[in-house]
Parts: sequence; structure tokens; C-alpha cells
Amino acid sequence: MKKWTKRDATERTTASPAAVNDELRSSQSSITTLDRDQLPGDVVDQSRLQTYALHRVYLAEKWGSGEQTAAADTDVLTRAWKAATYQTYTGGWLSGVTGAPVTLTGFKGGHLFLEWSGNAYVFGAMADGVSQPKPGSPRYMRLRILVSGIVLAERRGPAYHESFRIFGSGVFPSGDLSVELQWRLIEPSADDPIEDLGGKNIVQGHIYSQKYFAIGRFR
Amino acid sequence: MSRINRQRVEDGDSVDATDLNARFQDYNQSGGLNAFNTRDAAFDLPQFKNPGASTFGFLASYQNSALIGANDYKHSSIVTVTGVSSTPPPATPFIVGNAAGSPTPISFGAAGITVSAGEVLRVYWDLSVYPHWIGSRPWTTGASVDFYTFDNGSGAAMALGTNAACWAFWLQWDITSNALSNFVEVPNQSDFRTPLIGGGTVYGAQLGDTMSTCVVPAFIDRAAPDDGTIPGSPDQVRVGWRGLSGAWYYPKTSGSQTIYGMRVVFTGPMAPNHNSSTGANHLIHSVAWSSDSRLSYAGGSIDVVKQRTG
Repeated sequence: MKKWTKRDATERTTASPAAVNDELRSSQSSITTLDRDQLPGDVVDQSRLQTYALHRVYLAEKWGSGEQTAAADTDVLTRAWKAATYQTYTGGWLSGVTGAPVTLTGFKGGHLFLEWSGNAYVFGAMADGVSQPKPGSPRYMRLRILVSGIVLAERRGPAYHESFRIFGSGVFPSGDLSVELQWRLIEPSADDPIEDLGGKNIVQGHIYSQKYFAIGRFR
Repeated sequence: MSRINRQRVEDGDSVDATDLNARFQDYNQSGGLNAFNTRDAAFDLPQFKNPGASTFGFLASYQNSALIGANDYKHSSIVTVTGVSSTPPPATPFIVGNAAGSPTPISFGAAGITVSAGEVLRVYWDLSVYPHWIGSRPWTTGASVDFYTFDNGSGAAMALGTNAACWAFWLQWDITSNALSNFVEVPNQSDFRTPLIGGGTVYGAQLGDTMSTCVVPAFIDRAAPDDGTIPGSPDQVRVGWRGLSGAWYYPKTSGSQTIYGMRVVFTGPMAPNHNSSTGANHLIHSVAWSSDSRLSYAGGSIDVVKQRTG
């Protein structure tokens, strides 16, 4: 580095043009010292990259057991899953897999892309009652992704038994990010039978084969 | 880069030695060639190696895609199959192919692709499908497991479909050679031919083994309830053509795996089930009305991306 080498201005001396110009010239090289302009093109290849320098992937090829278990009802027919009935599901958003939220550790700040996919089932065979025959299926498995409590994506979700993939992206600050992948059923109509003729509860919804994939882009 | 944050000299300002020296020191501060200046903030796009023909850059190192099925936008050339029969064990899955019946896998070439430690393979696929059936609400007859019985208001039974019967599609890969003659299920995926319960009469998969599976409904039933009963006969509803969409991830944290090709297969109709002893949830073959069940498909695509995880 170039240092102050030419003329050090001191108090009560005259600041002549030469004093300033000489020093500016000598400083030229320090102003334009090694910078990206001096680095050759293609100097950074993959071998030079530190892990997570540019991006970091967070994923679960099988998130937990892949199934929701928070609202699993055992009083159902064997032709149904141990899954959410209106007797066990009391409303609100529940996590796709029971447990703590997913933590994206070491997020360095920047752009986050996150996708969550799987299969979801909603009974959906009943309209809202004889006086409200439309829509045919007013029931949905609503889905949403929260990142640090902020909604990244929210969808109406499947209405029958279908695969889903919900994704979103946004810019987030550095630090560990808390991600919640949640589902929510629509409440029954006043006319819905929620037990069969034998008194078994009717499964209203389930979610399985769940996995998630996220990329943090830090540059 | 470091930034100099100091007010500029304006016309009429008197020259002050302290100020002047401070300005020069701004440009000559020690440690200017530190890690931040020359590493964190200095690299720009020109310094990064450009992707070449064999490298796709720092994040994604491989990408490939292929059309699958009978690609016809107007659905005039489709493939139709009948549901798997009741003969145990269930038949091997149907292979998605073209209208002539030839499978349509995606090939990764003679050398295949190798997923190494620190990489992940992402696979996505879609297919235009049309579940349908013959007859009137065949899922409510005989030994079918695809309906519930409700009170019709007079104490008698009224059958209503569960709407849970489905066709299941999943991925297979060949990790032996580019001949693509040894396809097996990808990790975390069952072939739905595992005997589960019932002394070898119930076949399917535990839901935990369906990580590459995506499903579409095999039928839709609909009723208008009235005060906790189903007084009128339900209606069968056309499922119609709909898009199927699947995803699967294959990360490697150690070692490596070479893959030569992948394909989409399917079976059905399938139905929910649980083991009352173990509590495990299953998808099992619903065979009572399978001979009346149909699945038509047209075209779609499969897309593969291999990328670094960090």
C-alpha cells in the first residue's frame, strides 16, 4: 500500500496547489490497488469456492415419516387411514409433520427459494347441504409456508386426493431461519354426517409423501 | 469495497490541514487489502468461471429433460389401461410409453450421470392423465373398500364413495447400464407389490415408502347431506383430464451413484388402509372394482437437475 509520502500538511502552513497535487498523484496507485479489476477473468472456479460461499441447499427427501400425525384418529374403518377426522382435527393450521419447525441453519442473507411437495387427501364428497348443493366440493387442504413467521406462500390446495407442490421465494436477512410447512382443513357444513352408519369417524383429510427443498442464494 | 464516507470539499471552503490529511488517510488506510476488500466484496461476475459445455456453473452441474408418454396436445393419441386385477401378487406396474406402447424413459447417455457427495439430484415430471370407469359408481358395489355407508334418514344405508381411490405414479431408475433394461424403484419408494396384511391377499405400500409417488383421484362421488344424513343418491362426477405433477430428491452425503436412466410407472386403483395392530398407514390395491377402472394418459415431460448443495 502507498502511504503518505510526499507532503504532509501541517497546521499554519500554506496549502499550495502543488502540495495537494503531489500527494494525489502518489496516492493514485493506492486508490487503484488490487481490486476486482486487477483479478483475471475466470479466476474463481469451483475448486476455489468455500462451502456455502454462494448458496446452500436445505432439503429433506423424506420429511419425518412423510405423514401428518397430529390429528390422527384411531376410531376409523380399516379402509381409511389413521388420519384427521372432525373429531380429532379441531381447526387451525397444523404442521405437515409433528415436531419443531424446520430450521435453515447458517442462512447468510439473500434470496430464499423453498418448495414443499407430497400428496394430500380431502374427503370432499359432500356439498354444503341440500340447500347449498354448490360447489360440489367445498373442502380443501389449504397449504402455506411460513418463514420466520412470515407467509412465503399460501395456496387453496387439493380438493380430492391429489399430489401438490407449493413453492415461494423471498429475500431474508442472515441468521437461522425458522420454516413452518402447514395444512388446514375447511370446517364441515351444518349438515355433514361425520360418522358412518356403524359409528366410525370419517377421515376428512391426510397429507403424506412430504418432502421439502430450499436454496439460499447468498450473492 | 470499503467506502469513504466524508463530505466533499465545496467551493469557498478554507483548506484545513486536519481535514486534508484525513482525506488522504481515507485512501491510504492500513488493511485496505483485507479479506473483505479483496474477497468478499471484490469478486464480480467476470471473475467467475463461465459455464462451459460440460459444466453448468456453480449451482447446477447437469440438466436434462425428455418428453414422456404419448405426446399429443389434443389428446387424440392416448394410451388407456384397465385397473390391476385381483390376481395376487398384483401385476408389475404399467410403464409410461408412447401410443405405440414403447416406453419413454429419459436416458443419461452411455456414461450416465454421477451424483457425488455434496450433490443432489432433483427430478420433476408431469403427465396429462384421465381417470375414468365403466358402469355406474362401481366403487360402491360388492367387496369394494372405496365407499362409506351413511344413514339415509330412515335408518337404512346409503353408500358414498370415499373419494380416496387413486392411481399412483412413481419413479424407477436404472443404475446398472445404459441398456436401460434393469429398472428398479428409486430409494424411499415401494413398487406397491408388498404383502401387507390379510395373509398375502392385501398388497400395496406403507405411506412412508411413497416418496416419489404422486396420485390422481380414480373417481369422484358427490352427495348433498341433510342434517347428518345422506337422503338422496350421490352422483358420480367426471374426473376429467388433469395434470399430474411429481417431484423427487436424491441427495448424496457420501460416496457416489451413477444413474443411466429413469422412467415413470404407475398402477391402480389404490385405496387407503391402515393396520389396526401396528397403526401403519398403507395404500393398497383396490381390486373389487378394478376391472371397471380405466386410466388414460397422453403426454408429459421429465426434468432432471443435478446441483451442488453448497
